[in-house]
Amino acid sequence: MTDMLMPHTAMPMMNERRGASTAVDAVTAHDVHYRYGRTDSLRGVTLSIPDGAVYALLGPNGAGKTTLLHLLAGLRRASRGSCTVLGRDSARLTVQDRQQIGYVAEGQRLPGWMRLEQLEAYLAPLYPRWDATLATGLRERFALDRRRKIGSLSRGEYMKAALLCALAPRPKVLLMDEPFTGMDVSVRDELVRGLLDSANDEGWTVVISSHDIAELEMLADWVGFLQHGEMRLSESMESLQARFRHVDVIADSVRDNHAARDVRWLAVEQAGRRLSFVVDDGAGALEQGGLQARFPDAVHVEVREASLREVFIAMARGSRELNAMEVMS
Amino acid sequence: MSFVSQILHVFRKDVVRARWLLLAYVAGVVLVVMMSSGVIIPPANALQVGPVIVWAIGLFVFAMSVQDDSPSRIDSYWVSTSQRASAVLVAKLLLALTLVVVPAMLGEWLALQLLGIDAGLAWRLIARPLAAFAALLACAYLLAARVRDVRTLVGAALLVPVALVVTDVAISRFMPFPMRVRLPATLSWSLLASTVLVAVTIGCMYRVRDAGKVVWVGIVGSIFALAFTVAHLQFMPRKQPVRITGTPTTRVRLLLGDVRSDLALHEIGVDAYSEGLAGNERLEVNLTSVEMAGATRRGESMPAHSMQFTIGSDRPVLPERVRWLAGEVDDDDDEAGRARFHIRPSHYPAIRQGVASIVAAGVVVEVEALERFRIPVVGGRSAAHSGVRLTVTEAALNDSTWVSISLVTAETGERFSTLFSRRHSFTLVNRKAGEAIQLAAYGTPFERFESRARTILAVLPTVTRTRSRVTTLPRPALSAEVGARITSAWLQDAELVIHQWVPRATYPVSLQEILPAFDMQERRTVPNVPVRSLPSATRSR
Repeated sequence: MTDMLMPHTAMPMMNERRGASTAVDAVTAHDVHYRYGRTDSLRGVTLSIPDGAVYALLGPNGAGKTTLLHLLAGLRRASRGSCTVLGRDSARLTVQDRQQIGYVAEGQRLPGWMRLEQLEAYLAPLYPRWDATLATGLRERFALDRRRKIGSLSRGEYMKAALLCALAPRPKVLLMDEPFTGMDVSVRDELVRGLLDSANDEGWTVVISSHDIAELEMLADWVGFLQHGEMRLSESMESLQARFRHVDVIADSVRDNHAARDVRWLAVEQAGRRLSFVVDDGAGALEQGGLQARFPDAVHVEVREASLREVFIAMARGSRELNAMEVMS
Repeated sequence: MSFVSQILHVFRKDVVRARWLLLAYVAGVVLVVMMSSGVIIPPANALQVGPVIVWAIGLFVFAMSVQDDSPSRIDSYWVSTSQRASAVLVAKLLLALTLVVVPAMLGEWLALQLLGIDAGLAWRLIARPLAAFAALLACAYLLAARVRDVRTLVGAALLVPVALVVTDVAISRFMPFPMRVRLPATLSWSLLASTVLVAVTIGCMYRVRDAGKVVWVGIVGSIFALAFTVAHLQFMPRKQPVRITGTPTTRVRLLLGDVRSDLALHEIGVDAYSEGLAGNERLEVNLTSVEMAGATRRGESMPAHSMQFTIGSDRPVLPERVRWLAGEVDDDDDEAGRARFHIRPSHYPAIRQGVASIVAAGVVVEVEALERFRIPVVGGRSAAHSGVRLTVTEAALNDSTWVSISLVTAETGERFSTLFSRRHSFTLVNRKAGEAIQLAAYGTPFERFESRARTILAVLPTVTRTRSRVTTLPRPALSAEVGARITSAWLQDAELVIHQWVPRATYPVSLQEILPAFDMQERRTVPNVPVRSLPSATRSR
């Protein structure tokens, strides 16, 4: 996969890719609102994704991720605000603009009556940068039979075919909505690595929404967290990891001393003497020595970088708990 | 890829996708043409079912291609690729035009040619059903563009017949007849409105894919507007103002109920319009002062419910020169309106020389089966339907020598039909007398009777009113429009001319002034006609 997606250059190291963003924003959204009937699906979403970044769009179900991707792909029009892709208003993308944007989504309806080779042959003339070698390589790597009809593919194979068709034109921006759905672990892992390398090598900007946080963590260098139609955070992975800490405390006082807890702690979990939580250290919630003061009998205190999954769960639960508290009050 | 290349690219894809259905469609068109023209003998009901299946395949092919590249669905694949919306739209229209409409149009034209219809007339006759077919295609476009899959498409397609029925009922029930006759103006508006609405709705779907329920409002509105337009199409010919110089005056012969009289046409051509490609082939002429002599048997003035105008008593009356003129005249309204007839310029000499005749259908008061006639069938599709056996049921009034045709049935193998239409003209022609009675000028009801197909040529509403009594007739009942009082002798000398593709045209009739030139000598007598009444079907008002 890696070789295929980067046919002309050597494979870069993953850490070279990190922080590869430039000052130019490939994708932006400014104060974007979108209404579904009476429901505000997006409420003032603003984000900037640097050129060459791999942006993980996270959020619970119904947060508005798919809608945001639709807006970026120009499939919907914002009720208010604007989105740009490669500097062009996404509501007014031309054919030439679209040739530089790949879009893969879980619910996308590929022409099921076509064989894969027919679909490739149909799409190739539409894209000047269509890479037949890449398409062939991807097809072989995905173990897709070119003579099979799209409609007869399994769900995983279907997504692979969609990915193939989105990647073969070598787009500059790749918008992916749950692209790993139905794929087995090995293919998914391989795909992620291939995407990662290619994104770096080709300078692709990738916006990806997925529930596979582990893959996203490996892939993304920027993260956006969308909840209830609002962008709760949008920043680089480096910054996020520098801010959020996962704390593990083992102490007898954990059982009784609820007052010692800080309201800024997120995703607090207690199991016997053990207390774990995620905290946004950037907000000063984890002062130096503060934990020792709260739990003087602690026998174990571990503070480490929170994983993306932990941050995601912490933010999602934090919001729910906050809502519950608001309801109770 | 240029715009044109992209259109052809999408078009090719759609053709490959629908190639088998398209082949089936073309084969169906060919088959229907061969059956309707008598080249092959159709199996039972094939001419009823065949055209419908062919339409359905054509509509389905088009709908499927639209649904594949749905303009309004977010999950359509093409919207995320580098395809121009305008190219996709044009490709779909190209498919509809070249592979759905053109084969149907050519097939229909060929069928008419094989039926012996003049080429020029055939094109004119095709225009209206083709417009209706185009409206159906537009409906298919709108629905296929919005619904999710074939199943929902079929479900949503039910909206079209519902819209047709609703608009048809609305027009016939809530729009008074004179207003219907003046429909060209509303037709123009409804045509314009429906075209604009369809274009806006489709444009909106391509431009704003997430328009949501608003799109459905547009779709439903468009379908009803199209249905309204199609319902209008049957009423009005194309019009082109033409001035006729002079006001030829002539005398015409009237056969009205049991009264035969002379009329005078004092004025012709005050408001004249032409229908046809050449501009002057058919003229619609207002007879502003047709004067009628005589009265009914009981001395009542009987309004003419319908009239038929034929020209040239010295020559056989050909169906294309027979125009069906039907009017709805309120029995209680002695003041009549205007009469409009179609007259060709070639008929002017006949008019001026003065032996045109008007056959007006009176009101059937009582009906009784008396005698059976065998009438030779000529014209139109006589060769293909030489086995038609006619049964004419007639009735006579006690003190009249005149009989009324009440029910004419033709037992045929099949209903006459081509790809698009089932319109026919059934005309009883008495060449000796130079008279003709048009029994029906539009689609005839059809039913199975004793395992044979029976086409009812004359159909009347269940209730026929006169001033003095109301006659209730069982279905299939008779119509004042097609009921005519003629003699048995006249009937025995008559031929039935079945001629297809005569467009339906209905016009109000006005007979205003009675002339003294009433000549009782012209009345025909029918010897030995047993007379019986039909008391069970008759009641006094």
